[in-house]
Amino acid sequence: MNINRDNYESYFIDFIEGNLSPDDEKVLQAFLKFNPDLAEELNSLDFSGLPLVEVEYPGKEKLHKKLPAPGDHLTAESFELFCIARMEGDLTDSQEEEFSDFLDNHPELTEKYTMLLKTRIPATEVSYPQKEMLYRKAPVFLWRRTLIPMAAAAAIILFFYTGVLRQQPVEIISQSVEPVKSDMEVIAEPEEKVPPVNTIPATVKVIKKTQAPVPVSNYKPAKKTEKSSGTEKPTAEKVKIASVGKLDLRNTVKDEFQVNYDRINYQPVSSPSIHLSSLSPIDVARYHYQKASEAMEDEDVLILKLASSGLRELNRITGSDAQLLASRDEEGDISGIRFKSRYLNLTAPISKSEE
Amino acid sequence: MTLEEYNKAVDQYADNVYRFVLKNCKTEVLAQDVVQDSFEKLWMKMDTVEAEKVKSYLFTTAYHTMLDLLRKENRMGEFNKDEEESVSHEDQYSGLSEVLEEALGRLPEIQRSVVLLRDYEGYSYEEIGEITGLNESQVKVYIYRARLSLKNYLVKMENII
Repeated sequence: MNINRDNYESYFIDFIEGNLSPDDEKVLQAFLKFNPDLAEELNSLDFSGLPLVEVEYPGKEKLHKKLPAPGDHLTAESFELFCIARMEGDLTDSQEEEFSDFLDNHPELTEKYTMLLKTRIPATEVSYPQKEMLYRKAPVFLWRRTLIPMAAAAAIILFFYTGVLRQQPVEIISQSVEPVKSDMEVIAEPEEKVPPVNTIPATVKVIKKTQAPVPVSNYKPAKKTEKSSGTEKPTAEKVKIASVGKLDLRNTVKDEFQVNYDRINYQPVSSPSIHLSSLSPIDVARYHYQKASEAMEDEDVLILKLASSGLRELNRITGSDAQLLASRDEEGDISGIRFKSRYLNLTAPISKSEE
Repeated sequence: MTLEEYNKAVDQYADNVYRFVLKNCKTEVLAQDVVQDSFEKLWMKMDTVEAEKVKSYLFTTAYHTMLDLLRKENRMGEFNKDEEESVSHEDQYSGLSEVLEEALGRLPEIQRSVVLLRDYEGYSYEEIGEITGLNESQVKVYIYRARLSLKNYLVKMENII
């Protein structure tokens, strides 16, 4: 930026304050030669600034505050601070004695000291209202990846523990089970294999989705079917479960069902006609447990189906695709089971005991 | 610091921290937020905070969190009332503790904090300095000033009543 008559003031100020570079100073001197009036103006400027004026505050001594330090002596002016120092435990032993003597000699100051003692904030009980929310528990790491194999293993253990091999006859689901397909053939046990049902006759009726549910008031217990040859399988439309033990639990999930409450003491929900898929997992599990318990009385439960049904519910809850498959030999007995899931594929041969 | 020590700290210090903050800001919701936030921070720093330093950590965190929240809510002016403000509620006080409470509320925030830490928790000047970020001398000065202000207020109230 070149110096001119419009901006010379900033050059002057920098020159006075000594902030001009040597080059700029040369430029300024050249400018002043051609502008003598401004040179005169620069010379007239006062370089000394404002003169310092000595002013003293008259009550400065009174403003001085000094907290009692070890070695200081108590005076009338420092009495209050000594009182506080005594409260806070800052006095030395000699100062403590000095303080007591001073109070004895100046009883009129006792009230002042007492007033200072009252400034100690009394402890009040205050309880934090949401303390429960502050507590922490050890984190539990349960991933789906580990949960599923664990659940599958538990299902298999349960399967064996309940003594599947002691159940006669053994029902085979299929060589390659697709558990939840609605168009799958309904499995029914040939009638001659069914043990006598004395206590719980037909109480549950499986109805296809296309059929309208039968109101409770119109419901009649299904009659026991005639003995079949034992080789033909009933169709899905015709099948009527003769006892709870014959209930194919796989399909009840997708089928509507109706319960005769007079025959079995079970009231899962108030509605007479419900759909299992509308129930919570707990209610479904409770339903299966109820059915299994009743069926156990007839020694007619199909454990493999029960395990498969439980596994299917597990699939529904966890979103997994675990399957429990069974294979049988030429005589129709189970020869092995296979557990298949995304993470675990297990095959186990089975041999029946002689009992 | 272990999980057990953390939960023990909740038992031992949650009420104290809450009382300290509540007496400072007079707002239950804010005080609860501060306590919750302080313990949340302690939980996050569990690996680095030693068990014997927990109380100091909690009070330090609570104090600074409180200041931040108060500043955010622009309420500092409301709490830092001039101690020379004229007294107009004298007929509402029935006891020393209430008068003292009122006097405490009129103290500048820093003076109130150091007095509360001193009287409630029995902290030394050094410990209060660690919590508030002041040096020992400053803490001492603030406590002395606070005591004098409280005393002056009590005397004033006594004279009025």
